[in-house]
Amino acid sequence: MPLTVEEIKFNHDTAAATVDAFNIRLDENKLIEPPEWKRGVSVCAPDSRAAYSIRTIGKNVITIQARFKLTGVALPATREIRAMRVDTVVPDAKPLGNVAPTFVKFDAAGDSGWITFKLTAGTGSYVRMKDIKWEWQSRPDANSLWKPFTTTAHRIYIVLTIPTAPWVQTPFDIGNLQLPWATALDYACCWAYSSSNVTEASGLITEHVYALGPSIVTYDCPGGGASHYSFPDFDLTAFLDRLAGGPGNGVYVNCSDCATITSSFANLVGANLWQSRMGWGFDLNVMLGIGSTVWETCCGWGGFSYHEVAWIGSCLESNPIWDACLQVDANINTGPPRLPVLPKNQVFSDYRKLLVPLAGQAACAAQPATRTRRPIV
Amino acid sequence: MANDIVQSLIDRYGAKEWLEPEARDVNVLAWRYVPLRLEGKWRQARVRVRERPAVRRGSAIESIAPSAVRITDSVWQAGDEDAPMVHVTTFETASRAEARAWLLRTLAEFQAPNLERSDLGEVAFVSEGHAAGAFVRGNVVFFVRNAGRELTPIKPILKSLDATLAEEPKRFKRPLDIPTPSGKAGKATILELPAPDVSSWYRIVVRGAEPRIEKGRTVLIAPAGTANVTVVQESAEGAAGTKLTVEFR
Repeated sequence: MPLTVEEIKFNHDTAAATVDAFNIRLDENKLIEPPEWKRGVSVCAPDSRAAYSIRTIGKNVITIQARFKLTGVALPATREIRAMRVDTVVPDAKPLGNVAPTFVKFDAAGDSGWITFKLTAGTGSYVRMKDIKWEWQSRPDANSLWKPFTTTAHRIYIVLTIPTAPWVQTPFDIGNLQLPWATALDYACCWAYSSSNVTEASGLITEHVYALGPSIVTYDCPGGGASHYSFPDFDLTAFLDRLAGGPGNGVYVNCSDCATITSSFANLVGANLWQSRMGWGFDLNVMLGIGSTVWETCCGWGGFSYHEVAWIGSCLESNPIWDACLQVDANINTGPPRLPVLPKNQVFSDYRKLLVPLAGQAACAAQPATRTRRPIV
Repeated sequence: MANDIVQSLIDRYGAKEWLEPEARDVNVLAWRYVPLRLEGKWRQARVRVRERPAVRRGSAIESIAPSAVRITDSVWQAGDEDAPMVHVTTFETASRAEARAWLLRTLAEFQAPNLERSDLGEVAFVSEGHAAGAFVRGNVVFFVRNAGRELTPIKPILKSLDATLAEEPKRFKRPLDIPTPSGKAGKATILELPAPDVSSWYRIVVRGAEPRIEKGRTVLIAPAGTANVTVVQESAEGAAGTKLTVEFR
């Protein structure tokens, strides 16, 4: 094996993300530090993860950095190196495409140092998670044939913008749990797959969170609608454990949990949602709570002490909401048949007409002072 | 607006009666609490302990209890994955007053319109059907809810958790070597405790003084007189403890 790829950096500038990947961590326990790919350590695509922002990259050419080792030949030496996507037959397939050919000089010890390569394709225009494979090829000069020498696999996340709060980019260190989690990007990019704007992405994530019921989660009727994953912070570790088939914090959720999950996952792909409440103490129309197939006034209680949703802007009555906790009856004020609708990008004052009997609207006021983005823990 | 929200919670849960702690003959304090066991059939499935810093600029809901708090989350299973499961969250605060605020903050997480008062702990509430509940004892709030599809009554669990904090042990498995402090009346008197390891915690049961946590240390505050202090270090190996008589002059 005379030529080897030693390491690859996708996030080679941790202070910017205009031509490279942005800062992420794997989960609660591990930071994803460049180089993301290391020979002998990174085997399958999830062993080497990188995330890119469509808006931040724009039309810039994405670059990576790689380091090589050459042995068994007279040194110093030069090789032309490139990598071709082998997970697809589409030429220059997005995201990232191929690694453009570059001449690489090897010193007397056979080390190349870090070499910057241009990639032949950008991010594409929509949210996705893609496992890619590059076959690395080299040749001694431009007149020789390319010869493959290794293949590397990588998991690439494409989001609309750099994740918004509670997610942050700095400080890029192990103690910062608010760096975007790759294990959450696995779900967020899958749920929001193909969306090219934040409204669409938020809607898809709302649908997927609601669809977790009843098999993964269900509304906490027995426990009085208590919070299980969002009090006082978003226990993302527990929620991911639940999604992966573990116990997590159990099967029950309430509205604060759903609002927190929806907004945190939507913001991970670039939305800008909040968690905010309405209240206090109001009657309800019949609905389908998450995990339920029975039209009732949420567990038969008749009312809520409060309700919480994912909300945009100042979280006022004129701002749209996304509610993954329940479906309302769009025909509630006009008569049967019932028409279940999951509230997505619906102006609060319109949503309230479906959630709350018309006579009781005043008790269900937007409470923008409760607007928050719970920290990730 | 924020005050309206807090006031509505105070009205809803009658917190005017209990938000300010009442004087008690016996006061308890937990320090660096860790959930070691749950009485009965329960096996720990997951546990998490973390320190949450004080909130300076939070939402109206955060403003109910902005103080720093030590949080434990533990999930307990009674058998396989279909068996009952409970989720216990504790909020260890620096004082009884802060714990009362955290209880109100906890009650703000129930969407159901009505919770019942219960006679557990110092102040307690349970959901209709008793599948979830929260109570405060000393400086700690316990928030317990069913987490599995098969339900289990929560009140016996709340009761046993309360006992782990409030009960005064008659004897100890091992002695605990704690120096007796000389108390200064009306001033915080430091009760020097060796820092516990990650799998042990202290509970302090006091007659005649108020225990608190100040700057990460356990202190006693009392008027001139005598305080009887029981210090227990709980661990998987059993309780070590000692009884002290502290004079406040």
